[in-house]
Amino acid sequence: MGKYWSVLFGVVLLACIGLFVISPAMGWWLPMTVSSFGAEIDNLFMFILWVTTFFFVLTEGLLVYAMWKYAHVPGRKAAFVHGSHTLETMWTLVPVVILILIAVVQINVWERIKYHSRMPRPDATTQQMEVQARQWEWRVRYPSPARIAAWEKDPKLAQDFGGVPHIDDVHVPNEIHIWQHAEAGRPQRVLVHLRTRDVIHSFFIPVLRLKQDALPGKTIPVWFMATDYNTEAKVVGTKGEVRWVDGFNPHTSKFDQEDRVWDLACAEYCGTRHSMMKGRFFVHKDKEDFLEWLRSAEKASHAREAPAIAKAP
Amino acid sequence: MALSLPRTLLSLAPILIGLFVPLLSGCEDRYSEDLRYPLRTDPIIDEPPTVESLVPDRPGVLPVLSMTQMREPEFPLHSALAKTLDPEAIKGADRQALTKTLETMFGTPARPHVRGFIESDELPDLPPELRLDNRSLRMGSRLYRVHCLHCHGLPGDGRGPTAFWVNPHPRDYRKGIFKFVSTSVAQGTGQKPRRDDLMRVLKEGIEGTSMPSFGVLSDAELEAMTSYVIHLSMRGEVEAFVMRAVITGTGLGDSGSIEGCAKDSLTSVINYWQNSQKQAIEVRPFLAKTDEEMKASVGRGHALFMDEKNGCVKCHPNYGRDSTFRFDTWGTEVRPANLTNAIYRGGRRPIDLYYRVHGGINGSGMVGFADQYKVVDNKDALWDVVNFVQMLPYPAMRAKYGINID
Repeated sequence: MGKYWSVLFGVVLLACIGLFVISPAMGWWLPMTVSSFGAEIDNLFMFILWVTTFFFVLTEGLLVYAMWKYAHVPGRKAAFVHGSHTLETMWTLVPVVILILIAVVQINVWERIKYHSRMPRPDATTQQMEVQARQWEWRVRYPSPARIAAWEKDPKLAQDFGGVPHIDDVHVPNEIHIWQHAEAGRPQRVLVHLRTRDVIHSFFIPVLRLKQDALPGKTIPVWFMATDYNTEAKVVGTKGEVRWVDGFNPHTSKFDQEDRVWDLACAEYCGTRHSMMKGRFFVHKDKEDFLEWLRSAEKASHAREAPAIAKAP
Repeated sequence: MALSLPRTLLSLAPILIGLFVPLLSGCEDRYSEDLRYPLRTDPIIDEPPTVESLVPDRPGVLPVLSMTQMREPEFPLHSALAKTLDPEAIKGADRQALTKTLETMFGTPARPHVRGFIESDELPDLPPELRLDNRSLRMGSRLYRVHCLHCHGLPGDGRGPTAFWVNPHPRDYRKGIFKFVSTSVAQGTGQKPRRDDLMRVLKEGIEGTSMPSFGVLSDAELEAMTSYVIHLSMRGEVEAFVMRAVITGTGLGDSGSIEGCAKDSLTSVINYWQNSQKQAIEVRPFLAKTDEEMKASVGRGHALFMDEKNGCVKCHPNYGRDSTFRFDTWGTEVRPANLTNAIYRGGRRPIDLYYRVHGGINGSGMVGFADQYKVVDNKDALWDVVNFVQMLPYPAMRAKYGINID
């Protein structure tokens, strides 16, 4: 046996480091950020990654070194060591200090993103929607264009949207639509009322660096602002039909721009089809474009006429 | 050292194999070429019991899994035993002939097809509007394996591995009956959904059940899945028809052979599907344009709903909150919808409710009211009922239109 194990562990260590080094170039690294707080989350991620990298290399290095140096040699007798108080105190205290450090470093970001006091008020300036998770899809409820217009006249009316479904609501499965530019040139604040109908799900939009568990029986507020948009109205297909598309062309089933297709995913294992519990995140440029999409969705979800019968090809 | 190294690797081998075999075997996304559709084993329910089930046993749960279960006196469908047929009764040459015939007609899971003829070319070509060409079906079978199989099962029997953990249970296509359709053909096996209806179910999912939306897939993929579901449904319907004919000893038809019987059955099934594609419900124009008219319409709808003789209240007592359980065509214990909770399985658009009231819900016991609700004096009774039902779940709307349901 001899030094075989130390070589194996050394190779694993080098492979791990190598994987991290080549990842960004191979496109295996983080997706793009379009979130107002994305940079802060990424900084925290990098901070924790560097801390763990340092200790991973240190401890693995020591391990490989010890395995190499003290590998079995026929005839050599092992020494009996009962333990070291100083060492044990050290490897308890060092992680404690690091964990406290991480807790201190992250608390400002946590406060800015997750504290209830920081949630946008449900008024005319906030975009609202209710996202209801269930096995295995996201059902999204939007206020109707008329209701949004009414909120602008009387912001108080916007307060009951989170708890009370209305007859004119627009229901769209698996698609989160928001707009990016608010009036003052700032990103639009979006408030999501997150609920689940069955088990625990987790609302995860990678490009926003946003993740929030949905718990049965609770309505959890989630907010975010997007700093970029990916959706515009385009004529796709041959019949002059206008559809709102991101980087994916629903007519040809091909990706025109793959990095412009932003996912909504479930990040908490919730059953057989968990991996298929996907939706898409559409960011429209401005409220005008969003409202136009919403009007088309409203027309479809409150249809009182049969759609034209599709002809066989 | 030279000796010990291979031995170490040997001891690691089971671990490595254990890790990689499941990983690699999960990579294939199509059916194996050797796989065949299994012949039906669960009982064919000819007529479900018509009694109301006052003490529901297992509402929403898959009904009959085996004949053994049926013979237990505690089983809710036990009393219906006489109207149930056991496919195991088909033996020997008949069984072989049936297996062979079905395979000739419908192929295998990896290579599905619908062949409208056996050996001879007597049947008309497959109607192109059903899109049952081999390319669509093959693409559909691959997607079905990934997205649908685990609930709806290999032959579309609604008995996939996860089916037993969801309530209400997944649809069994083999009866050829689909609940949410927009065709004006008379209810029953002849009333097939239009392709658009199936596409809509795939895109929107079915609220209140475990059927999710598959809207993130492309249109072409959804079309292919629709084609494959139609294929499975046709196969199941032909299979059950022939089995019934063989078991009861009647109805093998003029030819008297299993092949001939299957051919006759497939001909009529294809005809049903084809006819249904053409006969979409004609939706009458929506008349209540103003608030005043809407209020009047909702009021009339309320009166029609509450009509003691023929109204909705007969099956939806207390607006559906006190509905009782009964058996649907599949033998499942179901109850008429609670119309106050805003969950509409067939879709929440007004047009969806219009279709449901117009044509009923296939297989569930909900009948269509097309003949009863007419336009009289510029008042459309059908739209009146739809308008009323739409207002029911919303307190603000009930207050606005003066509906008191408490």
